Amino acid sequence: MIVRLRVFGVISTRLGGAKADVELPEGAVLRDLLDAIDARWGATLAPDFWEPGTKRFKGSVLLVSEGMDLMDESSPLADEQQVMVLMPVSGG
Amino acid sequence: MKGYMGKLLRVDLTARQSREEPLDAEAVRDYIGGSGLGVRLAYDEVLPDTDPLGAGAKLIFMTGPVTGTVLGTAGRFQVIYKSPLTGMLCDSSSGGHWGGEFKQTGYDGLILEGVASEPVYLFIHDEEVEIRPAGHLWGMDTFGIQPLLLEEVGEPKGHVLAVGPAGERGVLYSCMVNDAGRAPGRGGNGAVMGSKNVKAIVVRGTRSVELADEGGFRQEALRINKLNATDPRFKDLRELGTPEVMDNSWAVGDIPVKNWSRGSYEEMSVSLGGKKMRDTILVPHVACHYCTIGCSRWVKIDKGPYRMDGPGPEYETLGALGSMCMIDDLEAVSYAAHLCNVYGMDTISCGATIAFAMECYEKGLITTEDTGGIELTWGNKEAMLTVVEQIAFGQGIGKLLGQGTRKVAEQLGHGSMDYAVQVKGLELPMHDPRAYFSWASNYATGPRGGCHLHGMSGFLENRQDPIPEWGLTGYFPRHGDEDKARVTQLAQNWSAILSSMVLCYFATFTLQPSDLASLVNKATGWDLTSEDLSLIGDRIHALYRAYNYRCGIRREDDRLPVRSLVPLAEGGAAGKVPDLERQLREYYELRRWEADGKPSHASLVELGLADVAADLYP
Ligand code: SF4
Repeated sequence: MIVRLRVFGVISTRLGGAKADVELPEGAVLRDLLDAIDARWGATLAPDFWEPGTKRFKGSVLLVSEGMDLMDESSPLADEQQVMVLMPVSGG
Repeated sequence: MKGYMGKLLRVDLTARQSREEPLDAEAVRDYIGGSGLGVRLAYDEVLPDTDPLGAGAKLIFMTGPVTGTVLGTAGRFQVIYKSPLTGMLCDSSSGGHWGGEFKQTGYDGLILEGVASEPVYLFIHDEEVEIRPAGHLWGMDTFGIQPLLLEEVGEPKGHVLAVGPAGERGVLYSCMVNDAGRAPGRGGNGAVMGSKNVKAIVVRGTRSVELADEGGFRQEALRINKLNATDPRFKDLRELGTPEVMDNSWAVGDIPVKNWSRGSYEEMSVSLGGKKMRDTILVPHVACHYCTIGCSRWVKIDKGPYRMDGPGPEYETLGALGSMCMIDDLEAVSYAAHLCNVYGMDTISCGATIAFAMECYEKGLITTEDTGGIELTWGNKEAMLTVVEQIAFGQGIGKLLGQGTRKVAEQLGHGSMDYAVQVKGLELPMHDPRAYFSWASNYATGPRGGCHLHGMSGFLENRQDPIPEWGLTGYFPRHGDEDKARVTQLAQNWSAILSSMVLCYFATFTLQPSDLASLVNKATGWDLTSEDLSLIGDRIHALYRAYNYRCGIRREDDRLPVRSLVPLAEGGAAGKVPDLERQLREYYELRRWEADGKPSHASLVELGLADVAADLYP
């Protein structure tokens, strides 16, 4: 199955663009996606935005899909699911 | 007294006299400077029943121990006063260069009291003060007046702070503007200055501040400046300014839309975003004092109906005058922001009040009879621009809307208070408590009313170990109430320290309390620790609260507008509502406030505020 990443702001420069598709096995969960991100981009995201040890994003980077934050690593993912990767900042 | 000039300047406008006073060394140690010291001065000198626009009101301008140094952003100042918008104490911060220049005139702060019998402006230069007639300047806008005044005083390197027509006319959310577009925006300080018949304050100084450890401070300041110039986490802020929030925060539902009634969505937000600004109207500009982030924008529109050449709108402005009013035209919103700047008005309160008026118009509480024929419909940018002008000049419907949402709702009735999105009279900023739950207790208890700058609590959510030195470790998911009271308390303390050192929030994103303590210590020669700073933050908050309690603020005022607690149907915060009561219960325990909202006697005494305890518990 394919998970479609939509990447915002500075993170997109590390992932080489605002969009990226990640191929995962059927029945994949959030942890599988994080492992795939680690394998493909872990080195370019670290050390500022990626924790290589835990294979998780660092700081206030969020994964959001269908209006929900993806927090639980056992959350199931669906084919064609869009996952937004962003680092919101308060300002003004 | 290292880090300070050691003197305050007091100007009695009624008597047209000024005098110097020594800075109280003990008070400086207890409050650092800036807002902390200003709140102490206000507590001691401004009676709680003072009319904010009367002769007894005071305007207190303060700098801090690092002001005027090579540390980026350290050109700021704070202004402390009783707000005509809220009826409580208020402190506002402004960037640019005026604050640094003021300190170099030889003073740490300025207290303006009394009322001038005719319009005047002050010219303060190297410990000399002149009170000059300003009749010929009255009516001028805050931009046009600046080159004219610098020429008049013969100091091209001076810096000007002025009120515009809105401040002269007493618009309750009018503000001063300094250095072409920087402003202590919130709470109506422009009306206070206008009520004193003071049009402007020009400063020019060549004195330098002596630091305890010049070399050590310089090294530390340059390290921080370099960090801010290179840290990849600030890349977007450096390149796109605060409008970048529009580009991504819609995804988490943090951007208020249609007077807080809709969830944020991509098309609207991106149309007003930092990338659109960069690709269309952005031009190079000079940032605040030595700042290596440079989030401020400058825009030029040289075609069409919205021609302008001035500061670009911040995120808050884009939200208030844009998405809140359902206007997605970046040029129109930039132009509206420009009008607010030149007339001297807070863009948040102005935009929020217009959005509220649009909803009242939709519901029939305001009609074309009231507006003089203006169709105040959602998305009507021409109507919005006309109303901005009318507010500034006290004309037409602007006379009513210049009083802010709370007072307008009080007059309109019919349940409109439910969607007047303000806390204690101050319109909420553009961050939604349904998106980041800590905003709930933060807005409800904010010392000057609904405000994100007196505790950027939302920024501490969804990140690991936000302030470990103050024990704020762990992860605080945005849609949860657990520990949010503590997040709020420490975010508020952090902001209290920044506004007392007089630094910009953005420039300290990467720092911990020990970094701030180190800067203060190298400037002053003290030996403050992280824990000391937390205690000082607690002290400032307790004193602020005590003042506001004496103004009549009680537990029932620590609330959120009904509208902001209605679940949204769409967007990144859909269906989510914070448990404000739970957060408040925990917050009251942490702050040790009594059930009616008064700081407890014991907490005041422990914070070194025995005199305040005696006032509150006679
Ligand atoms: S970060 Fe922005 S507001 Fe803060 S000092 Fe720098 S330019 Fe000014």
